[in-house]
Amino acid sequence: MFENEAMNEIFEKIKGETKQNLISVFGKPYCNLFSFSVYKNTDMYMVLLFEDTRKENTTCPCLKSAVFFDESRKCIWSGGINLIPEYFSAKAEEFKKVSALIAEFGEPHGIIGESFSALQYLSEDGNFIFVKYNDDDILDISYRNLF
Amino acid sequence: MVFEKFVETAVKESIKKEIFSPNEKLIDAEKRASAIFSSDIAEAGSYVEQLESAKQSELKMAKAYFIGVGDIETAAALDGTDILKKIEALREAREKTGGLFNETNSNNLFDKFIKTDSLYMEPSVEPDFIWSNKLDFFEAFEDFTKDQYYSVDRWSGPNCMAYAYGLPCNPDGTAFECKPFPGYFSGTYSEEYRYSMEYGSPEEIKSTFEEYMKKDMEALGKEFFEVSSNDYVPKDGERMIALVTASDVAGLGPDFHYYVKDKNGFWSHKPGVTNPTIFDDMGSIIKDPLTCDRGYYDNFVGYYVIKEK
Repeated sequence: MFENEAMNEIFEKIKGETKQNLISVFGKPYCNLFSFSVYKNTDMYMVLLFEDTRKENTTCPCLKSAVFFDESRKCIWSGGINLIPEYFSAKAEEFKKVSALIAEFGEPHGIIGESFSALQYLSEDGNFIFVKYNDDDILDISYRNLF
Repeated sequence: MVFEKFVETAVKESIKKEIFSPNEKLIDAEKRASAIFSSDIAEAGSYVEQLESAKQSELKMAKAYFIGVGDIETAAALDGTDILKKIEALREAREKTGGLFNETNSNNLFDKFIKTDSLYMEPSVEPDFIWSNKLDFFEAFEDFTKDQYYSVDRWSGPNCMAYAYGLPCNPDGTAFECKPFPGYFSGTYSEEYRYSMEYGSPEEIKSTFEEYMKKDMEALGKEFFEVSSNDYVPKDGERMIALVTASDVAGLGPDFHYYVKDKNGFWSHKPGVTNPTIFDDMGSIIKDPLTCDRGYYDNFVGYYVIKEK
């Protein structure tokens, strides 16, 4: 029987571990999506979020958050992350400004891109959300269900 | 044959079921091999060979695991030559980690993702010099992480291209008004490079980017030339870079990315407005941007060298 408390304790032990070291334990991810690495087995998905952490004079990606989804994309457990609620997609069209979106849903889980930029979020129902923006204007919101 | 079967079973079980539990069966097998050794040297020889092989597999997995959980000291202890000492170190370390990643713990979801195959991989550990603070990457690091060069929302600031050009800000010292793009420094904004990344052939992408890079270099009083391989060693005053593109990055569309060769021969890069890093998408140090894990950026355009005119 799965228990939240035990899982929280285990997560605290590996939180902050480097991406390289975790890859040596879990193997190559099913896919990498910028700061996120996605693993899958027969009936479950594990999504790890890495954050660049200062180490000496450089930074390296270290584990910040972890989320587990079952095969129906229901979140089983998450640690170190506030997932975006499922109603996001129904409400997203209302948002025209990045600042308003962040005020409603919180800081993005990642920022990506070299020419254009996009905020990256992970939702409760296992969708990656990309909010492409220019200055404070939202240009486009797209979803990618990696499962 | 019975003993051979025993060794085989022990190995299989240790791989499938007892990866991180004390390997009593192997220790027991060693005792049995030792007993046989006293009566039949030839027969014992083959068993000892198999045992060594079994132990090496086990130790390799254990080493990967302990490096994985950051216990480098224990991982190093496993490198010793005395097999019994290694097993003892392994046992102590397992007790120390309190059964983390023990598959008998049904509450450990992480455990369900440990790949047996991956544990055979020799974990790579960065050479010591990678953390030296005397390298150009680390000298540049401070410049490229100053808050004054970024807008509050991080919409603008030095990106991979600025990092490749060695410019944390505009040449006049002011912060970038947006993230630099091909043509930014020469004031020749165009959608052409974006269009070429999305629809153009590799040759078209290359010629388009080179055209804009040339204009930028001229505006900056620099010049650039292409080099054929990663083996090129930049001379004093030269900066070696590599350009890659993607036709469709999730959530973004077409995009480009640059890498910079550091004095130590490894490469670093700066993904967007995040901090410069020496690691690729798999968290490995970058020996060659052509072969490293670049994620969506699958089109390798080329290696270039920038220098003052």
